[in-house]
Amino acid sequence: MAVSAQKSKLLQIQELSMTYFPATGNPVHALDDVSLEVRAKEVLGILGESGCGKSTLATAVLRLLPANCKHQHGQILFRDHDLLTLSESEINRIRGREIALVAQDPALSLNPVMTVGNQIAEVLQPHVPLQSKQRQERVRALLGEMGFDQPSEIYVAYPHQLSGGQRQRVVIAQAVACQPSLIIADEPTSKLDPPLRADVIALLSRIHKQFGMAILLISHDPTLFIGFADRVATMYAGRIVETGNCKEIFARPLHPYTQALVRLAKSAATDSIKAKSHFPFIEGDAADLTVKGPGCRFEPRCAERMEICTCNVPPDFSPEIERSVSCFKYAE
Amino acid sequence: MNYLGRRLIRTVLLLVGVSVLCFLFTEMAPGSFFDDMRVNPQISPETIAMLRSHYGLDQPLIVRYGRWVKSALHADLGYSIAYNVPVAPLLWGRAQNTLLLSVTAMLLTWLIAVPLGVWTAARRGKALDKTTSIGVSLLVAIPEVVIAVALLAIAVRWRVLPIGGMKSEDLDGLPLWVRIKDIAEHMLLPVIVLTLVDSALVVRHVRAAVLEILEAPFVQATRGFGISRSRVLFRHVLPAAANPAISLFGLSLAGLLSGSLLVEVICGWPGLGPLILDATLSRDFYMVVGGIMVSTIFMLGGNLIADIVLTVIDPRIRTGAPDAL
Amino acid sequence: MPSSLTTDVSSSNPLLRVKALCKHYVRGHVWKKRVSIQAINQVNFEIAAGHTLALVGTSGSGKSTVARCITRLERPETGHIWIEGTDIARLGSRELSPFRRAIQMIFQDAITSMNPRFSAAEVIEEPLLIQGRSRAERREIAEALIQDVALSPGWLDRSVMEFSGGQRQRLAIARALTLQPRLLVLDEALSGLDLSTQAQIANLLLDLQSKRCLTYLLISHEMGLVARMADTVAVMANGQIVESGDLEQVLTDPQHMETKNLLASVKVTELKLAAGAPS
Repeated sequence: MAVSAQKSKLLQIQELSMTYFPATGNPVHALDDVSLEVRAKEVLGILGESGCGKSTLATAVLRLLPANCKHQHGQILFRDHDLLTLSESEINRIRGREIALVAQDPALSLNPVMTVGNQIAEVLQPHVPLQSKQRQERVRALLGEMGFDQPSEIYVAYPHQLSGGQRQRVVIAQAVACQPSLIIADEPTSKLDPPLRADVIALLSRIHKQFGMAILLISHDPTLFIGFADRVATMYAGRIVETGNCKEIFARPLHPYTQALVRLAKSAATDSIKAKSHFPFIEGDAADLTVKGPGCRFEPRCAERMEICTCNVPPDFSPEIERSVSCFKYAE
Repeated sequence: MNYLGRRLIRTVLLLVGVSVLCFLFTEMAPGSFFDDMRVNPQISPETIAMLRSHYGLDQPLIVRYGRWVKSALHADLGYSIAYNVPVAPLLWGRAQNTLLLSVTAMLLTWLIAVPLGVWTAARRGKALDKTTSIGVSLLVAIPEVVIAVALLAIAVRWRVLPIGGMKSEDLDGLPLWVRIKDIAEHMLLPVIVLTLVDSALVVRHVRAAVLEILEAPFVQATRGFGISRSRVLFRHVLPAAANPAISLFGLSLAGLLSGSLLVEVICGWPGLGPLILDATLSRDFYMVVGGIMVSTIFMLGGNLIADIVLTVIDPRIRTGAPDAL
Repeated sequence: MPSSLTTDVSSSNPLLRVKALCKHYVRGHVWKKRVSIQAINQVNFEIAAGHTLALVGTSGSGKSTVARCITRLERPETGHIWIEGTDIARLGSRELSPFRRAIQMIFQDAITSMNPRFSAAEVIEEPLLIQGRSRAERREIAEALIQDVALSPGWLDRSVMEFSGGQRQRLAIARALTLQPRLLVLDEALSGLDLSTQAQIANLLLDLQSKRCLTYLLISHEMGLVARMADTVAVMANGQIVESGDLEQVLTDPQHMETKNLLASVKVTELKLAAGAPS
């Protein structure tokens, strides 16, 4: 799937830096000079482990960050408007209508005392002018498209009456309701059993083809992206360390961190059945976001670290077209 | 047997238990109605003994209890020695006055306190929240009695409201609205006291419940769909916060009905309060027992209503969710 | 359940042996009658000392109920649970206390199993308080344990909230080890962690197992973990064990539909990863 660079840029995040100032303790540099773009109708994956700032990125786009998170510098351009400078009512028009967020844990992101049908209808209410009956019809149709056999029964069910997989489909229905141009899916499968994960990705893939929206898929599980994402960006300690075409990145990862992740994913396969054999892992602990040293954030854990890595943050190099790596190995 | 059935049985058992304890404690309390008479040299001991047997007070306690239960089932709660009338009609009349006061105070409380609780939670730390917080702390700390007396003093000073009683004299023949206005004026003082005291507590609880819900992930998810702040607050957050608030509603109703007794006495409102007080002080046996039973019924009734409301409103309880209350 | 699917893996002296275990829950309805749900039905298995049994299956298959019955957080209606020969299935609380020390459980989300206001030391020392050890003794034990789980003793006084998810899970493991248990029940203890954290903690568990001769009941839906950690595997569906046997045998030659389904979904993603091509 060759990606044309002429495709219009839907979302452009430029040198975004965000820092949390918690009530006690040191400031947390959640996002550090993050630059990313999502093109229209493409599926972009963000691969990163917990604590790398990917959830902050997802919530930052829709300005849902808590008050103690301060924007240090950078812009988030959506169709050439900086989302960070919009007023509350302007950003409300974009939320749900142009950009929708599929939150992490469907068990927690649904209102326990409201029927799921009404919760989907509530998404339509501020954006799509419809009579109440028409709205209900629309919701039922949506539930049908999500693969529910009995949409009317599901409409009046409460979240606790549904299974984990069904709740996930409801949350996706909410995101798709107004047919936004961009859906941000933050760890959509991490709380589900392995057999259900493939179903969710298949659903996302189907609605991507059907509605043509761009999808920003965030996960720590590399296997989700294969066969679905067009491009993938790896994130570590609040920075984007590698971007490129999905197939290329997994076939030939360039950044040492990406290489390590791919190696780990491959070794988690069941064909290496051997009782009591140790798992390969990445040396060292996850990066501490409260500490902002002078050099590369991955350097302490990197097997190929060099002198220069300790004192300079590597810029983005482009060793090939449509590839960007933040590593001194590829300096010219 | 379903949940409600079991609740009703429990309620009945509770009433029986309370009635037994009532009898026991009233009997064990020192003195009797005739103590004043005994000191009076003009009344002979034989007269007192005759009066006692006339009112059945010389019978053993168990016999009296048995007869009381039998007649109570026919809505006859005995005879008042002090007022020389049957207990039940007198209680009922006074109970209506108490209900009028309590229900009005309760409605006002919740009309003011719920929105206030929600707003202060939504605007946490801002001016409204801070001033409300101070006001609430003051009201909770100052005893009800002191507030009642203070307001009473102000009313006396400035003569704005009638002091004591429920109606003015000579109102027969005047149109209905004049009579209603008159009652309202008399009611204003005790209602204000009750509302102030109760709403402080309710505001606190509603605020705490809403604050807890505001932390929940689904609130952020809802805002992420572009729904306006006020709609999120009242259409999404408040129903989820309703559960702890409604439990409080039950306690509040129960407490109001029994707690208004003190305010009634101070403000001179002719409700159950002054009646029970007088009866207790003069050892008017059946009146005391009757009054306490009515008070208990109100309290249990309040709790039961709250539980039913909660069951109807909270879908988690209604459908037997695993992690519901 | 056909007996041919269950290979006999009994050793002469299993640490844990479970037979005919049953448990049902009652779901209450306010308006209607109460409904009884059979969570587990006639569950049999055993684990030899120092071995790991993996209990796999989809959500709702009853794995967690088995865990809760074995640790006696719940009381099974019928069945036997033999720990080194003693049946603890229906013991009273006083007779049960020595066995509570012998079996410890580690839960899925570490933060939900510990008081967020505690420091790391308080979390680890909590079981020792019940034993009435002195403060110095408790501290000494906590320092040794926190090093055993590869965390620095200097962090003992940090609040639990300052630790990452993986580090908290290490604290949970340290806490579980304070009373020197024989059996650890790992109820999805490695789920929800990302790959490298999962790998590190799995390695830690493997090391602890050989160092302290621990026995593990590993409950998981991640077959990749099972493939490297377990000696034997039991597959659960609808409250019953549908297949069990040696690790290699079950994974390479599955018999039951459920096992095949579980392995099939994993195989697909593995193939994708190996080929790097769209499926």
